[in-house]
Amino acid sequence: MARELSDVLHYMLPDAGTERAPSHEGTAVHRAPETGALCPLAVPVGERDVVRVAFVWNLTVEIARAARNALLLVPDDPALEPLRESLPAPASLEEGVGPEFAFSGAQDLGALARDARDLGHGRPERGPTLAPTLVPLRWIRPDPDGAQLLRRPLLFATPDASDLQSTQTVLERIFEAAPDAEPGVTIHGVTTIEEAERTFERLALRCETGLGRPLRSYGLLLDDLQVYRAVVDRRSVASSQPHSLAARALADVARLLLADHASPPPGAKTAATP
Amino acid sequence: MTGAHHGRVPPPSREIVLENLEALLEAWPEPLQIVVREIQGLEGSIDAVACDAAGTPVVVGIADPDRELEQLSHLLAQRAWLTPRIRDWLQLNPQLPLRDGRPPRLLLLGVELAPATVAAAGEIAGTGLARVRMLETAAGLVVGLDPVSGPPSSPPEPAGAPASEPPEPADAVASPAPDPRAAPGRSTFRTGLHALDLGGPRRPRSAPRGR
Repeated sequence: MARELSDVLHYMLPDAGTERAPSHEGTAVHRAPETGALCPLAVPVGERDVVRVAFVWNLTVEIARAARNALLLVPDDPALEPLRESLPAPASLEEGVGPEFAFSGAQDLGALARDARDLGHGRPERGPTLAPTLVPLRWIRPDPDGAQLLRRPLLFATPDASDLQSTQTVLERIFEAAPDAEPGVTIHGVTTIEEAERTFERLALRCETGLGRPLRSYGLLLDDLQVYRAVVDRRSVASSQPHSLAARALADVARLLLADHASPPPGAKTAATP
Repeated sequence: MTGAHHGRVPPPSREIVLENLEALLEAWPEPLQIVVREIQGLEGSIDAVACDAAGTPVVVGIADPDRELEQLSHLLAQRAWLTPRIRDWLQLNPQLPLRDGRPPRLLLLGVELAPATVAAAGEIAGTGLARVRMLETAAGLVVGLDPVSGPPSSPPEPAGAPASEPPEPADAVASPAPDPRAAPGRSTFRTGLHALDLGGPRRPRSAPRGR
């Protein structure tokens, strides 16, 4: 039975005390990190993208485990509201451990992009932060302020024909909103690397021939079920099943993302930052 | 490096050079300011990205004695990776001292710098080389740089080039940023996983796609 995202999003969060984050008005950003540039990684999500949101959360954990600054930016959207309400309160998060969270009161793509930009300002002692940013699908529309956020979006796709068509539709909308976008795709729902490669090639071929644009590959993720179990356990795959295929695949995708996005490790000297 | 020195000692290790990199670059004939250290670049790391007073990015690498040519090539690849990202960095942090539109230079630091390395670097516009030396002074051991070629921020100006604008490196001029709309077919599947991880036969990954 299909489940709504709001049914399970609260499972994806670390167990970090009982205090809940307050709700927000306007576009104020909650628990803003302190320093450094933010490298937003927009991830379009639909209301039923339960597993994919879990992927994003786990990828954020993997980025942090790779000793990089990582931040999950979550906008204000009804479909994501349970996630917002369930995130640990700022005071309950130990500084420097694991990924950070930031909540945005944005109601559209442009406001979310401005919040992402503001998060990167005035962070003098820390290096750039790779920030997976959940973007509700319906927000993807031409917006001068939002185009930058969609510069290098990450999509997930499976071999399923209808899913490939949906992904292509999302790609079309992304290019419409951000003509210079360089989208990347991670394949999941496969059992072999060859199947993932074929799936990527099918999608890339559509993108190149139909849209005239190349597609970046960000590997594949395996064993969705294991990811789901970890979600239900309220733990990351890396902590619950560190030697699993799913964990290795997540780490590999995180490595590819880090290679393509400027993300110096914490403590890297940024002599010229304010 | 100036100042009285009493003698030379074995060359400094890579770690010592990294520790002293900021001071070494500040002492370069045209001082360089480190923007970021040890970042992940294209299939490898970049020891540092610095810039000169004009904001020209400089990709800095520290060469191992037996891998100078290889690491010169590595620096070239990292420059190609870095060039389109300068604008992104500036959008993310406008206060960085970098200036967009200035082709990054290269600076390779090494303890040997064999003739072949020097010759190869001479063929790459905007490339500086410097030997790293450990010197024994009255104050103790210090690390110094001896410029071999460069500095990277002041390459020869091509005839007719405006004096106020640094020239494009020859290789950068030869390969302008492609228009993605005009260059389909570049999508390549990537993964670091192997078939063995999934119980199947291993075969190379990241090979170009055949259609």
